[in-house]
Amino acid sequence: MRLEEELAEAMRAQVEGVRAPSAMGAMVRHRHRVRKMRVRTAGVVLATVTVAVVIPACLPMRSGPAVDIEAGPVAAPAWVNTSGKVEVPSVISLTGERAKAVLEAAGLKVVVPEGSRYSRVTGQVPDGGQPAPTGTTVSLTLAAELGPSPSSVPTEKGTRSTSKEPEDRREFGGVRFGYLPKNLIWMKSMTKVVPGETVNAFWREKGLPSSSYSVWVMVYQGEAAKRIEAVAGARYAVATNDADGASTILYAPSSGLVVRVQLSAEYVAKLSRDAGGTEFGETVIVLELRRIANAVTVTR
Amino acid sequence: MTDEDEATFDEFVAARSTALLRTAALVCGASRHDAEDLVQNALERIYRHWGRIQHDNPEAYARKVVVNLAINLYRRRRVIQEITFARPPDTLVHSPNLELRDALLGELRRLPVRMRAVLVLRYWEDLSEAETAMLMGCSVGTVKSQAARGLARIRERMGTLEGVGG
Repeated sequence: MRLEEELAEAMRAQVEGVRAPSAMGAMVRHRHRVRKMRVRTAGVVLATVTVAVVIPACLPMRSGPAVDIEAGPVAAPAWVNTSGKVEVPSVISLTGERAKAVLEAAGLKVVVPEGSRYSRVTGQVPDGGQPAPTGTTVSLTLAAELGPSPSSVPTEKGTRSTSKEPEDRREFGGVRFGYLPKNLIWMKSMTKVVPGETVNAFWREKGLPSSSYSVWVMVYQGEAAKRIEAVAGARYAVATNDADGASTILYAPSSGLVVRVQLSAEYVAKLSRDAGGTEFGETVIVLELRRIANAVTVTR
Repeated sequence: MTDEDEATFDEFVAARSTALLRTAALVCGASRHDAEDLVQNALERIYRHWGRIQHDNPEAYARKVVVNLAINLYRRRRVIQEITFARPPDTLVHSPNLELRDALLGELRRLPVRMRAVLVLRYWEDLSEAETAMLMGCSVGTVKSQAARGLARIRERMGTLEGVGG
C-alpha cells in the first residue's frame, strides 16, 4: 500500500468514533446568544471607561464556558438553588466588576467601593462558601490596581489597600501567591527559586502522599519571562494536557512577568466532581486557574 | 434570520458537523472536548452570517474556518506544551506504542501544523490540490511541495523507526 493510502486509512480509523453530538445546533445557537450579550456588555464597558487602564488581553485557548464567565454576562450558576438560600461564591482576586456580576448571578446584592472598578477583590463578607439567603448584601474590599506601571493606574480616591497579613508560605523568592485553593500544603522540598528569574512552587492537598502535587505554579521574571513571551505571543492561554489530563494556564500580566499555573489531573478531577457535572466543572477549573494566576504579585 | 434560514442551518449542521469535527481533531490533535468546542465556535461564526453564506458554498467556508481555528489552537497549545516540558513528580512515562498506525499518526502529529493540515485535507478529506490551496490561502505549488515534503518526512522517520527503507 502506498504511504498516502496508509496515512488516509490511519486517519480514518483515528476519527472513526468521532461524531457530532445531536444537540450541536442548539449549542451553536446558545453560544451565539451568549456572544451577542457579551458584545453588548463590552460596548457598555467601553462607553463608560474614561481613564485608560491596563486590562490583560484575553486570548483564551478555548472559548467555552470559561470565557463566558470571565468576559461575558454571568449565567445563573449551578450553586443557585430554589430554596431561597445560596452558597456565597468566592470572588477573591476577581476584579470588582466581575465579582459584582458573579455575585449578582448567584442572587446576591453587592456593595463595591466606588471608583475602583478594575481593582481586585481581596476580601469579602460573608466569605465564599458560606450559605446566605438570596438577596443578602455582600461587601467587598478591593486592593489597589496591580497593573505593571504605576503611571497607568488612576489614583482613585475610593481605593482602599488592604493590610491583610501575608499567609504563611505564600511568599518566597520575591513572589507572593495571593490566592490558593483551601486545604493545600506547601511542598517546601520541591520549591526551587532562582532569584529574579524563576520561582517553581508546588502544593498538594492535605491527605495526599508527598510524591504527588495538586497545584504547581511557576513564575518567570526578567530574561526567562522574555523568552516565553517571545514564543507565546499571547497574554493568556489555557490548555488541558491530553497526555495526563492536567490543566494549565499561562498568563502574562505585564511585560517581564509570566505566570504558569498547573492543576494536576487528580486535582482537576476532584474540582470537577465537587462542582457536580462536567460542563460546570470546566468553568470552575479555569476560574480557579485564573484566580491563582491573577493573584501572583512580585514583591521586590 | 427567517424560519427557513433556521431550518437550512439545522440541515447544514446535521449534514456537516461530524465531518468538521473529524477534520478539527486531525489537524490540531485536540481532545474530543476541544474539537467540539472549536467546531461550535466555527459554526457560530457561520450562523452569524448564515443568511449570506448559505447560498455560497457554506461547506467550503465552514471547512476553512475550522482548519484556521485548528491551526491557531494547535500553535497556542504547542507553546504551553513546550513550557511544560519539565515533568511534575509522579508522572507516568507512557511506553511508546510502535504499531504502524499509531506510529504513522505520531509522525503526522510531529509535522508542522500547516503541513499536517495539507495532508489531512489532501488525503483524508480527499480534496484536490486546487481546493486545498484555496482553503489554506496559499498557492497550488505550495500545497504540492508541502504535501510532498510531509510525506517524505513521514516516510523517512518511519524508515528509521522500523529499520527498513520506505
